[in-house]
Amino acid sequence: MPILALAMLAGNARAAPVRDGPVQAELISEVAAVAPGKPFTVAFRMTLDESWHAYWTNPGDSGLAPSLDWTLPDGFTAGDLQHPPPTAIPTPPFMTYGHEGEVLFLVTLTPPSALEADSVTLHAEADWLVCRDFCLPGSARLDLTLPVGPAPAPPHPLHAAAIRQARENLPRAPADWRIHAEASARRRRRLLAQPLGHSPEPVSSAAFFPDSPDVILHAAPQSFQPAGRGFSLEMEPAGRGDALPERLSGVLVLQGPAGRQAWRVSAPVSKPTPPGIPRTERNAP
Amino acid sequence: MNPRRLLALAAAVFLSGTAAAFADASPGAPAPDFTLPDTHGQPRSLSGFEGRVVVLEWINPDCPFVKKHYRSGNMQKLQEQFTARGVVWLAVCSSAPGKQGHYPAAEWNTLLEETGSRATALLLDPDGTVGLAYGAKTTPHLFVIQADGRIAYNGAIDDKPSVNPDDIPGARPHLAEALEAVLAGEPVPVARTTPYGCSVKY
Repeated sequence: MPILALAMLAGNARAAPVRDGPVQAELISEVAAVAPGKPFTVAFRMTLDESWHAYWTNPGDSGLAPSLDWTLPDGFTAGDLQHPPPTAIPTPPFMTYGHEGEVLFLVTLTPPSALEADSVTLHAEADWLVCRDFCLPGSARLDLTLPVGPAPAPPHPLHAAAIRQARENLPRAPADWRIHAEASARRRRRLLAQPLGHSPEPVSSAAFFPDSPDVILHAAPQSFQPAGRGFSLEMEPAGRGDALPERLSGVLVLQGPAGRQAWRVSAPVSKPTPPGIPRTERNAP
Repeated sequence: MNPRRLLALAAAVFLSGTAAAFADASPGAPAPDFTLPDTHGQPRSLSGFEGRVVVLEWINPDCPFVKKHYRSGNMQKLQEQFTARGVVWLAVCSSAPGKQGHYPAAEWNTLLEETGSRATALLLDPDGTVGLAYGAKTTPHLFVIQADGRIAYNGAIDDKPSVNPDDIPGARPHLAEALEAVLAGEPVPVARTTPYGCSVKY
């Protein structure tokens, strides 16, 4: 179907992409109309020129994640920006975590239970930093106008599929896996993943992206090992590794036969078992 | 051998023992000694400032985070405030030739005058040796070295990672807090933070 016809199907939903330097920014909606009281998803879409990257919430050794500042009609509320799983972007001697190409950051908006107007305009001020061998801050004032209609709101013919895909790619709690975190020899941080119950598809590689920048040495290689029916991943600690973090929290990006998937992980760190101490003695009060 | 040299030697041993891609100057550890030329061609050594409190400020004048703190006057104000109290403030540029922020000494002197820098000196580290020895990651990235030659602070200028100068007044000024504590002979409240900014252009 030609784009123009699709655009007409979208009714009077209007948004204009804004270009600032190497970035095109836009607000897009999953629905073609807003239904009173029914939460819906919009995306802040950044399209970056080749060789540029934006940053994840933990940008790694340098950088800054984008932010949105909403101005909404009365009674509307906006949830947090949901960041897609990052990719590792090495810039030796550093490692940064971010995004390249087209990136969708999802936000849930909740309208009030009664809407008088025929249409609503959502306004957001977007700020970002993008870098290649140098960095450029950017910003855009973005508007998205959507008609008001009865529930259920129809999907947006141009953007619903992309937003649905972005939602499926968001990190999720791993079903049927047990994740264990520990500090191993030489204070290395280790994640152990073991499947529960049925035999899972084998995982061929994994990368951990911690929520906090002071947990692991971002630029050090992570060591992936098959372990039992699952796997382990070892990482160098940040700094001198003296202080053990209470938890390893972040996103684990896996590669398996089913492709790339991202898990949200938060596992308490158990201390390494000192060698030669019997279990009973170790457990004594 | 004076205490500063002993500490520098210990630092060299410590640094060579780490497996990291670059070093990590941890609070409490001896600050690695160095000698770098300033923008007037004069060699400056850390050991030459023995007994003084020293700030190292990694800088790249074209980085938006550096511009935030210079266009607002925040960095110059800190430089003025603390050099007036005897602190030695050394800005260090580790941008490699051909990379952003690399300027010949003469151009640096013009830039420093234009920005009204109050740093004691700007040191040129084009091969990145000193940046790597300290583990300087971003511009800005700040280190405070106390009078006994140990690292007292390693991290960000404040706690609001952004390029917006409007964020400066409401930010917790980690660097200023660390300097106040060191000058008062008190423990630094937060000795280590995550620096924010552009990556150092090694």
